[in-house]
Amino acid sequence: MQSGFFAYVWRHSRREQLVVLFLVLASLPFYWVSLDIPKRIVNDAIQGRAFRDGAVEARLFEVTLGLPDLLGGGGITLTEGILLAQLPYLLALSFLFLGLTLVNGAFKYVINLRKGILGERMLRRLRFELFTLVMRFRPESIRATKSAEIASMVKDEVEPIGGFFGEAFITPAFLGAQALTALLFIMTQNILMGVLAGLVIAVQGIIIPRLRKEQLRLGRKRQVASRKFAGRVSEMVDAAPLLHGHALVPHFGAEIGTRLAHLFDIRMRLFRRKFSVKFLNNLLAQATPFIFYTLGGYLALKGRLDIGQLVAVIAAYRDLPGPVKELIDWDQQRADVLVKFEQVVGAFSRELLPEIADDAPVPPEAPIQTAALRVSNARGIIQLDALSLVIRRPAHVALVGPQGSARDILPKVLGRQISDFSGDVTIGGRPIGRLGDKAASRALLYVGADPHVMSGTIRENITLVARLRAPPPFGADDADRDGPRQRAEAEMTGNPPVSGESDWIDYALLGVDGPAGLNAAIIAALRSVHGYDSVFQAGLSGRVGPYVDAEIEARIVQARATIRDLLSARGLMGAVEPFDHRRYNSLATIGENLMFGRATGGRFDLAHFARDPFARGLLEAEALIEPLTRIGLRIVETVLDITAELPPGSPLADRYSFVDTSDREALAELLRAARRGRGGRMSGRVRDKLLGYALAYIEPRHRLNLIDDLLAARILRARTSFRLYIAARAASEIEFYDFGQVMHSAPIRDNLLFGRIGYGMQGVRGKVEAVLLEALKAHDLETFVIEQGLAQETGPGGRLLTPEQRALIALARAVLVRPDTLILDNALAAFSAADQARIIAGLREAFMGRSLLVTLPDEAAASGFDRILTFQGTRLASDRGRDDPASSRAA
Amino acid sequence: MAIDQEIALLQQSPVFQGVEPAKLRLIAVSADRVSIPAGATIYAAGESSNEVLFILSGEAETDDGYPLPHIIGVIGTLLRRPRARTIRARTAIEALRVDRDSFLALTQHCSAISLAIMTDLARLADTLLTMTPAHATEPA
Repeated sequence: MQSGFFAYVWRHSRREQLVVLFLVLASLPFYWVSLDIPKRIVNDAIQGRAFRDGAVEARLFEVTLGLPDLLGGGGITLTEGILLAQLPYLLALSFLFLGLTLVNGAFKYVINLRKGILGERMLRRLRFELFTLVMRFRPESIRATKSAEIASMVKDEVEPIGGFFGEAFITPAFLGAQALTALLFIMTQNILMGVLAGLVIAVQGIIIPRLRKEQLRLGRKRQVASRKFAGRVSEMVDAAPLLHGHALVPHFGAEIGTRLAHLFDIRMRLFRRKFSVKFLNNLLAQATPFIFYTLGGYLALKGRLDIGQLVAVIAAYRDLPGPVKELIDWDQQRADVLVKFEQVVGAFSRELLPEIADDAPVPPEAPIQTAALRVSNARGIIQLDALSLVIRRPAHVALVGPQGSARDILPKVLGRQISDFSGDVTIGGRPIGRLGDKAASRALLYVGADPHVMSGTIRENITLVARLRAPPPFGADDADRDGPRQRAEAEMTGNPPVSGESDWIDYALLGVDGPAGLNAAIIAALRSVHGYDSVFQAGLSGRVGPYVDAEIEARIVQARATIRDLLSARGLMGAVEPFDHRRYNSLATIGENLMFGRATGGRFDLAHFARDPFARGLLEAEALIEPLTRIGLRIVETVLDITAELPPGSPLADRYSFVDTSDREALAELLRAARRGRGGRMSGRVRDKLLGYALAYIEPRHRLNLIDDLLAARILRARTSFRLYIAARAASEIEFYDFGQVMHSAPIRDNLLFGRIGYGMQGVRGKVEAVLLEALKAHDLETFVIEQGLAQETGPGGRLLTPEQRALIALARAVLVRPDTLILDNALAAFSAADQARIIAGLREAFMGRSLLVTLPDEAAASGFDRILTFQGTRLASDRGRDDPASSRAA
Repeated sequence: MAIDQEIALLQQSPVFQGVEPAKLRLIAVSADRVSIPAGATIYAAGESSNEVLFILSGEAETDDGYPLPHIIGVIGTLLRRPRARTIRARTAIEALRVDRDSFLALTQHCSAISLAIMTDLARLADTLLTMTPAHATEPA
């Protein structure tokens, strides 16, 4: 990619370019004939030259191969053609002309299509190459890169380049050949007119680009000037008080005036230039026919040119300016694209990691060795110095030292996060920098402090790291009809010929037989890093979801009774407020209480509830509109109060997350409209919004003191009518709370408790959770819950997870793929000291017989490790347990 | 059982004197209201620390007579270590319970609350420093 644009295009699309160029060549004879036919129509058919001397019929389509004089002249008649009368003769020629026009159109269609596809293929190749290049940047270089910039380059900036790939050779060839053919045709008719037409084109092709260059320069100048102008205006607006205070407005006003004058001048010159170019263009386009008519007419009168030729010349000339103008455009585009291409190539020209060096596996017992290792940061400050060390494996090694010391550097070097160091770092005698990704990740797997979680489910994020075995290429499966084509396309563009959507998981690596064993492996990995509970909790809070086995549903329903029994046996009945159709559930929203169920479709979704005619009719009939709007109003007031004190997105406003706080101004406007509209004149939109908010209200959670017994009683009455009058079809949009039925749209916890845990009592939540776990175990539902937990979304960058959960995912997936050595560089920072100790113990057990390198704050935390390396500043201060592999517990 | 009443009670506590009601509202909206009967255990030693309690009314005590700050559970929650000692309700207690994340967000977004918490802890440190040496050398 280091070579120029044209060399790049030619190297990768030579074959296809040649095919299209051949098509261009093949189209020319047809084009020529289509130029020639009008002449024959006028001369032979209309003016009747073919019917001279009183002939009634003339021969058409006679093809005679002329023989050179050497062979006696004359010719061989290939076909006699057909004899036609004058009118059919004219018609035949006209239809031939029409046919040729179609053929020319078809050529144009095919050439344009292939050109487009060619460009798109090249774009695919370029994008993939750029992506591959980024993946080969050194880790230091990646960190210094703004990912958004790279992404926009790969996506947007190469787009116009891609458009030009197809144009690079074909457009000048196609248009140039067409223009030349037309010109040549004119010349063969009359050399003088041909020369004249050539001159006009020369003027167009030489002068107009020059004039345009100046036009472009002015355009850029105008852009710069107007940007400066905008900057000054905004600066002055900001400084308005100062300008007033010091009476500077006249001065700065004058400055703005001057800038405007400057802009005006540029614009005026631009107009002059632009319209003079246009004028010249038009003049040339119109003047040539003038020459043709006068000169051509003169020649025709003199009998040196016949009328048919004149008509054909004028028709051919009509075809000339178009291609010439497009060629000029092409040239401009070329200059543009070359610059862009150089920019993109330049941005991606960095020091790269060597291409897959050595993927032979490293034996698990091969020692890690460093010799005179020294690491400096970008400013040249030494971070780790003179480290010569042999780490025999398997061993559990603790790296101890203060934060920021060499303790934090060594794991990054071994984990290949730092590639810029002096000295040698080898494993089994092979430099770690020369290992391929695959061999390195088996031998030395690195987990850092800020683990990367991608969007998707927790499960996908954990199994992500096992996607190491390439599936069979496209088309390997005969059933896949589109496979061979996809494969051919991929190979043509240097893309991988396998699908990213197939199953890439290397089950053998995980030590399981196939997809069926995957869950057990994930759960085992989670347990060894003590992440099981966290995922389990996520599962309990997640919805049951629509796709559940009938058998599991039955067990959930059975578990409810068990839980009731357990709760009452432990005196915890008061901690849970059950769903009871005769009672208002204070821990549920007003909307839930009204429906005594949960909306499954959009129709009775709380935010839209009041918009539904049936629902609103009910609220009106039960006189709930007025009290509920009042509640909505209070909620909006409260939210505005809170958000005034908080930055956007603060977790403190979480309880009001059902109110959209992204636009406070809109919310304030809503409040004003609601206050104005009190007393019945409120608009439907405002009222529905307020009702929507009110329906999400839970008294003990929000505590605005808005629900009294009277209101609760009214809502209960509405519940009865709602159930009574709801049409059968609408009822399918709601899952009513029913002790014998699973509510798919409700969280698993709600389903098991068939109620909610209260807020008011201290310390009961844990006890209730313990009851839940017991019942889940009794009904064999634990796996179901953990699977639901694993199916929770992580959000982009893992935003929906806590830092602890993100760290757990990183640890669990490292354990899942069972590397020979796991390097934990501050990977436990998200956890409390107690949790860290538990997790390390779990990991040490999971890595029995394999190696661990863990950074730890102090030696106390490192008890039990085979080897303890203590760092002070940039140096290794003490090394205990080195020559004592016999005592290694891991061995 | 309403936020306005809770704000009024918080204002009367010595910790939050002079803090604007608008700031105290942030505590109330992110908290659960809890009632603890006299004699009940609030936190047991060794339990994990992931919440704090803002006392609205009533009094808490430690088993060994160690002094407590007004905001209970802050030390364990900030240091991320298990509860150091068992705390009980001496009288019936009304309190606001705030989980760890919200507590950290409160200290980050509101300097007045931050300062109040620091002052509360400073007062506790001061009490400990002026206590008899016998108490002061006891392991924390």
